[in-house]
Amino acid sequence: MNDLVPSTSPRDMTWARRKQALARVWRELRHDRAGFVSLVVLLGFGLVALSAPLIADRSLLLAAAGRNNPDLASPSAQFLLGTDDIGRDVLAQLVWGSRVSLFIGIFATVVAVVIGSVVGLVAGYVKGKVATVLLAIDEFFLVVPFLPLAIVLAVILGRSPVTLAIVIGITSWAGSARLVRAQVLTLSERAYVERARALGAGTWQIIFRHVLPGVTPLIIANATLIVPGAILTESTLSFLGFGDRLSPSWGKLLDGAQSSGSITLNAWWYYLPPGLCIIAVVLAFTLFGRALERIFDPRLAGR
Amino acid sequence: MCAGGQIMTATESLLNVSNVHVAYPARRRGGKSARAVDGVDLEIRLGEIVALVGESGCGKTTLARAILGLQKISEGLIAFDGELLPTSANGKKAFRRRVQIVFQDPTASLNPRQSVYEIVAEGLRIHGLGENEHHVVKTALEQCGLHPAERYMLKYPHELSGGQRQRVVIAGAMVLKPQLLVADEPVSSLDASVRGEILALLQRLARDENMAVLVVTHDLGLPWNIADRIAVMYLGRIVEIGTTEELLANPKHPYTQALLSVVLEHLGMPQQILVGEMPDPTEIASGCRFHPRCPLVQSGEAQRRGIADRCTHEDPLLQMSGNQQSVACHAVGV
Amino acid sequence: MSAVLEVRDLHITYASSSGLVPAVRGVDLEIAPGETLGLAGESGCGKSTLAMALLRLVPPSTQITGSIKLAGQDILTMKPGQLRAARWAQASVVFQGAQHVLNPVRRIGRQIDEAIEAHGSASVSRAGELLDLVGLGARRGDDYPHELSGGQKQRSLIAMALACDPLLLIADEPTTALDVMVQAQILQLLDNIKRERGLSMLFITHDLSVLSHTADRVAVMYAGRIIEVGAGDALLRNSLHPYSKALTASFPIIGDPSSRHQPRGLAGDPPDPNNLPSGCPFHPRCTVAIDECQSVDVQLRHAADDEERSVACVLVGKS
Repeated sequence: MNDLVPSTSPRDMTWARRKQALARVWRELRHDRAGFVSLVVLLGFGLVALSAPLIADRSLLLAAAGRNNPDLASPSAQFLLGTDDIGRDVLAQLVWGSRVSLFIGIFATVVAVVIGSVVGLVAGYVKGKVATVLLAIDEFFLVVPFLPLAIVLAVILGRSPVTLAIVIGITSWAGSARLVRAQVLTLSERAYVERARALGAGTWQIIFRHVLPGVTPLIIANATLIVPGAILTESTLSFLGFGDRLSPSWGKLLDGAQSSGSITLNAWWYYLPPGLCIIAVVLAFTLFGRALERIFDPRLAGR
Repeated sequence: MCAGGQIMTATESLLNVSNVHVAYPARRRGGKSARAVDGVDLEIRLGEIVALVGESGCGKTTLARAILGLQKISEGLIAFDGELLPTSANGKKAFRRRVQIVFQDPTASLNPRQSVYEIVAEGLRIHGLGENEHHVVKTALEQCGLHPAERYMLKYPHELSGGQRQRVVIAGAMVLKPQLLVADEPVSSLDASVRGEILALLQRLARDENMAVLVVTHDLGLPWNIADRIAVMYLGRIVEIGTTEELLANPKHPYTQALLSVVLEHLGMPQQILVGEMPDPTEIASGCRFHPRCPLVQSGEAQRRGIADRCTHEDPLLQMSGNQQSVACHAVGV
Repeated sequence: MSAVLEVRDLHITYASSSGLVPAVRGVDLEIAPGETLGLAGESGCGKSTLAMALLRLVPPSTQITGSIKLAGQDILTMKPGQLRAARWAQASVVFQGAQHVLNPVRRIGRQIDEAIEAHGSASVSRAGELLDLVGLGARRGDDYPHELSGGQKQRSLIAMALACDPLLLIADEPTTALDVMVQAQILQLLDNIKRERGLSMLFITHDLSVLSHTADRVAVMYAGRIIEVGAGDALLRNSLHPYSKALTASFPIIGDPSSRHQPRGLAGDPPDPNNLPSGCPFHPRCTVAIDECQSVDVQLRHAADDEERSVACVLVGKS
């Protein structure tokens, strides 16, 4: 840059405009009651997950930890949420479980969104044979019953939280690929994309400068809607016994509650908290995603 | 090829389109392909303004896109500055610097997420001409009538009026200093009072920068305002071409005559409204493509002159008729 | 003869995200039986708002004051039932952009009959007859909208608008999206229908050149007001208000040497209705403005040398 540039350069101003745009999103979110409450709930769960080691020692999760405790004890001052069928603290498992459930939910979403966006971008922008093949694969993942597929993959790939997240991600990207492709198709018809092409821009320049910025809000909103699905899938897999035996997810907690007969024994403190946590997180993510969708959707946003 | 350069001064040829065809494959199996551009010859000289006039579906936009290299041609040659349009990626990119486009709808041709500065600088960044970027952008904006440039640079398209947006689009093309600007209906989506301003701008830029302009339009009034020459297109073919004065004072093709009669009606010229609409480019008639709607054929005038048979069977070619005027009609010169 | 349409001191204010917008600010106009009034102006001048308000086709939050008398009855005080009867039967609208108005999954003929049935006027299908009238041919009644070209769709909309024999046809930019030749065909059709049926017409457009052979009288709007009105040809040939002058000059006369290589426009942008300039709202763009223009907002008044002409300009009609 040379000395002609005024003190506030266009670049600075562009950043200022971006900040303004972020401020707008924040303002609208503040006024969207469902969106704001769900954000608070999510931040609460995140905080608990991050501070799990401060709330309960990890050793409390070991089978040996419950040796000296009463089995299936109801909530008391010592065990705020009672104990499970081998005497372990339910609260400790719930807190540590939030870590696993949230990690798998978010990591699986990242996997799904990355695959979905790349496939959607390529299928939407490149067209031709590549697109036909990608769409066929996409359709396969859309129609194949995903739970059996996830189970098969989980058995083949192993059951650590990371592989579980990858498995869930692989089975849930198809919808977002469709969404991204549709948006890319409409964006690449826009005259400003044609203008960029006439200016001499290459495919990647067009994708990064014009197409991607247009689909990013959609991808973000879509991602927050994939998270609850991933959390539910993880819970289902764990509940069915295909989860990671060593990490205490909410699904695994439910599985334990079910197999120990806590429901017939009326030990509500064992099965109710993980169930409610799953519902709360899933609901919060869904409501938050819908709120983002409302804010980002160009058709609804008042320009 | 029309008109030699004997009369006009310094008429060095910039763009040569010869026998260009663009055919879109049939939609259904067994269907006919659409011959959107069906054998066009056109020359554009350095610094001149040529208007390509025709109704929607006549192939004028397809031809414009082919000249820009944005549309593959199925037959024929397009040469720019003596060289065929490049096919290599690098060649194409270099070529894009020399030919720019302005679209009909300025709102759609601006990315709503980019500021005016980013939009105008985009061409520079694509071609790695970032040196002095701020100065070049400022100059281009002011050249296009956005004064002072600083007031507009940081605005977003939705904060501008329609006319200002079109000026931004033109500035974005001008930063690359093109030798040819293709303007596809540059004013038809703008308000009447803005129309003249944008046309005046195009004319001024063409003169100041010695830039040739190809204006695609459906409006015969526009070439009277700014164009040096007019080419009238019907169903994929140029049916008449000539200097603006000559062609508008003395249109020879029955289609041009009809088009002109419709806009000149208020001057007492009898209106000659053609029946029906322009056919689909999959259904081009045999013989002269205009004969099914031609008033000469319909009134029996062609029969009387003894050319009716040629009209229905023989495809007329563009032929010199007058100083710099060429017409593709059997009735001309008979 | 009494006017088919008589509008007095009409003000229309609509609510938008940025507050109340005064779109129309005191408009008087009348249309005599069999007369065509051309209403010209650029986008945002209030002409379409005015047209929609004539049949109260505006959002409920819009405030309308003044009076709109259609065949002697005041539209603004009508009950909903009366209003429904007045729409179509007394006045009907031909919109621009025919593709958005027609239902894509219903045959054209059926859509026309539905319009008639909704008003209970005829039991026999008149769609065929109407389609013949607009030059489409009765057989096209079996077509779906996507099978018709732009011009044909516009023709079927005209047929629909004529379904209940209205007294007044409001045509809102009926030819804007069409090609010159098709535009000429539609204008000719409207002209023929008008003559045959003694129909009155309000023809709204941004393109003064289409008014030259359709309109008996022309009114030019700027910033929510009529700034010049007069006999069609006289006004288009010799406009007196500086704004109408600029508008007519922006459509060149082919063959006129003064416009050759001289495209003429008007610098500046139309004013923001929420923030109108003081005095005459046109003065910031006016090339002949004098000091007085910044403070005096002139109302329409008769021009000295033309009885039918009224102009809202300090410089015109001042003796």
